[in-house]
Amino acid sequence: MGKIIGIDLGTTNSCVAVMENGVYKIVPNAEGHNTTPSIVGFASNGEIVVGQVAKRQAVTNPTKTLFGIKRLVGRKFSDKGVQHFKAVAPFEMFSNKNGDAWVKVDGKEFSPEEISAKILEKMKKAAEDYLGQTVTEAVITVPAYFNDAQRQATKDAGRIAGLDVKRIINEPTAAALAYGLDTKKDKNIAVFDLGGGTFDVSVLEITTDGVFEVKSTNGDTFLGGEDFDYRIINWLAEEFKKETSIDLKNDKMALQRLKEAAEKAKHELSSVTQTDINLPFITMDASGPKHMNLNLSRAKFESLIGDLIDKLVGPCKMAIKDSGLSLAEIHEVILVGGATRMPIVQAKVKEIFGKEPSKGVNPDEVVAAGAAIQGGVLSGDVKDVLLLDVTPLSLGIETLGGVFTKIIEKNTTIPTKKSQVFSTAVDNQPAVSIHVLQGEREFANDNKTLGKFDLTGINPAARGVPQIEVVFDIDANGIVHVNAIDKATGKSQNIVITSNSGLSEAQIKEMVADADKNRESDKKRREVVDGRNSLDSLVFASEKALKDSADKIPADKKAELEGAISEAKTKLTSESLDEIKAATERLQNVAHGLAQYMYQGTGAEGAGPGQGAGPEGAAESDSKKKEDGDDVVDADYKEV
Amino acid sequence: MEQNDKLNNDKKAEETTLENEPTVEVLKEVKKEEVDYKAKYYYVAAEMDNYRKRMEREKENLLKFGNERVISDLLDVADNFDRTIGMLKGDTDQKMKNVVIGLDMVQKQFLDTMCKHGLTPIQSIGKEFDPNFHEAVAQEYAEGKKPNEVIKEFQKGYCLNGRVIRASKVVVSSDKQ
Repeated sequence: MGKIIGIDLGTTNSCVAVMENGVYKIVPNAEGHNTTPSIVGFASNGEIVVGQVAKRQAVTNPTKTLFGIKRLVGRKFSDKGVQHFKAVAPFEMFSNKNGDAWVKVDGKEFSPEEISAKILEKMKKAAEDYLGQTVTEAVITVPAYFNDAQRQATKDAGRIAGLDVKRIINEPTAAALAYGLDTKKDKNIAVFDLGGGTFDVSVLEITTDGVFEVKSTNGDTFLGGEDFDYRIINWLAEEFKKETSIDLKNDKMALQRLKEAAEKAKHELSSVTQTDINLPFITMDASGPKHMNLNLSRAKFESLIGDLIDKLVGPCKMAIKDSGLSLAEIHEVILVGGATRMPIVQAKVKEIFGKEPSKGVNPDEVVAAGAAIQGGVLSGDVKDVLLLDVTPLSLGIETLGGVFTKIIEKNTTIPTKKSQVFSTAVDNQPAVSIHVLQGEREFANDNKTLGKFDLTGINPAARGVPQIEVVFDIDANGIVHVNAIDKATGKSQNIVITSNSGLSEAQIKEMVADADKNRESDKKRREVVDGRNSLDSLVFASEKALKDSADKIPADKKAELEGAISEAKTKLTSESLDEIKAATERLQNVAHGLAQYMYQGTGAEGAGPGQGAGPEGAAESDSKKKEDGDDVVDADYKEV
Repeated sequence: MEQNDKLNNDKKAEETTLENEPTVEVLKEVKKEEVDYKAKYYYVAAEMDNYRKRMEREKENLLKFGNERVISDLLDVADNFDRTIGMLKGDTDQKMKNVVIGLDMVQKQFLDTMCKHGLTPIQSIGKEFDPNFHEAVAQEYAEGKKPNEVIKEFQKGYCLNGRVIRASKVVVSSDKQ
């Protein structure tokens, strides 16, 4: 089963997306960009170039560089829009024998479908490179106002490009899909699409069965982000002229730099309230080099484009009127197109529709994303297989000192299975108690208990020796199976917890928020307990060393160690991390000193690889006894 | 009584059939479900494998092009450096000449550092115009130049690890006056 890709075949730019594990992914083209200019160039050597490369050679090859072809798709040559476009486009258009608008390059005739197919081929190739597999099926978007002939022509373009077009969907519909609008209830939405060169506004009705109906559409085919750039360029040139009397508009190189700076300033003013335009050595005169150093505030920029912003109102009002709906009946407004990032555009939309527009999906990519989602629905990707659940909260068990040890972290996709090995806290401990908990807090007491069980019959052994493996297994239905196995005897016990104990969404959120709130204090408490636990292990190891090598240790060293041990023991209940740390350090020093003394005694033999040099320092004193290696002691159990 | 027993037995027999011997339809259903699930399982497994491969490639690209944004932004600084030097080069004052030599060295150091991170300048002037690397901003007739030759460079272009991150902005010669 291949993938159905989603293509936004735009007038100025095109974009392609695929579904990946239930989430859309915008596919970058070979040049590393997420959008590709909808431009096709026929180079003199016969090569056909598409996208960014075609754009770069446009100046040298104006009659053979085709752009805005979407304006011709499925239209008659006599169409007013076609005639309007013909007046501004430098390439040749003509009427074929059926009266359709076609283009001519080097005397060769092409239908708009054939040209669009070149762009689609490039998008298809990008998707194939990304996916590493052949792509044969696609969903392509068209403007809501496209008629049947234009839709059919777009479908044909897909076929020429080697794509089986599974569905043609409306651009505003795709945008609505990308926003994941709740199709459970009937609602009306407005899609406000302000791109680089065109402006469209549509009102759609979504019904419970998921059908999107376009109720009205309006716009301005020659209004967009580029118009805002020109206003900035003009302002910059005028300001510079005021200052220096030099007209930069006659200087191609300077103009090129102004163009770039203007676009950059426009982008910046969407997030900051003012920006500096620094163009050193912009030009020169008899007195030497001249620099441009201007500051443009958002307020100034907005005053420069005020009349263009006002032009957005009319088409919106018309679209609302034509839809036959009142403002109150339009439930949501969605933004599409890069220019909708501008705060003033968003404010205008809010003013026109009387509500805050939905944001969040990249407005340049939202249409392709929606097309990919539709493709996913058609191939069954979205509905069936990919609705994977996650565990909303972490799961784990209680370990020594009341600590909550997480085994499965929150937001892990299920089904999943994880295990960890634990050991005992005291010598000859016959059983361990497994306290299964759920939550984000550091201590068991603060989290929610899911269940408890005991694993008994552990063979007598020193603390830290038994290996008890605890396995957490969450199946696809969210049922948690917890299993504890004593690796020595093979004895095991388990518990099955169904349905996450019925926590509501609100409770889960509260628990997560609670953890955030208490993170600092929990961390401090946790450090104290961890400190105590490691001091306890150190005391244990030191006592063991003392007992095992009693005959080899001189009396004074022995007394010193005993003193340090008994002092450390008094700190085992301390609440002060500093005290605990100090006691740990003291005992460690004494134990190290002793270990050094003993190694010197045994000569080179003891200087082998420090196999026992685990986290507990005193372990060095009995490093030759490998069975005391502490690598399994991840955490200890509370004694039952 | 006997009849009652028989009735009970019949009933039991019926229940057993229902419980223990599923009908052919039910079996077919189950079989179909199994085939369905198997197909989905293979699909998910394959998708997972492909996803892993894609992520590996993405990671590679991230390493290769992850610093693209920073480097792109620094190119503006490099441009202005070029302009400063270009402006001072014609100066005849000996002190200024020495300053220019110093600035040249700093510029070279800057570019060398960038090159270590995969940046290479694109050659343009005197080359045949190639839209894969050059962006034409104008076309002019130039005496003694081949048509389609790059005759002026407005802005230097660069590749990062073999990919164009900024095309050279150039003027191309035309065959007509």
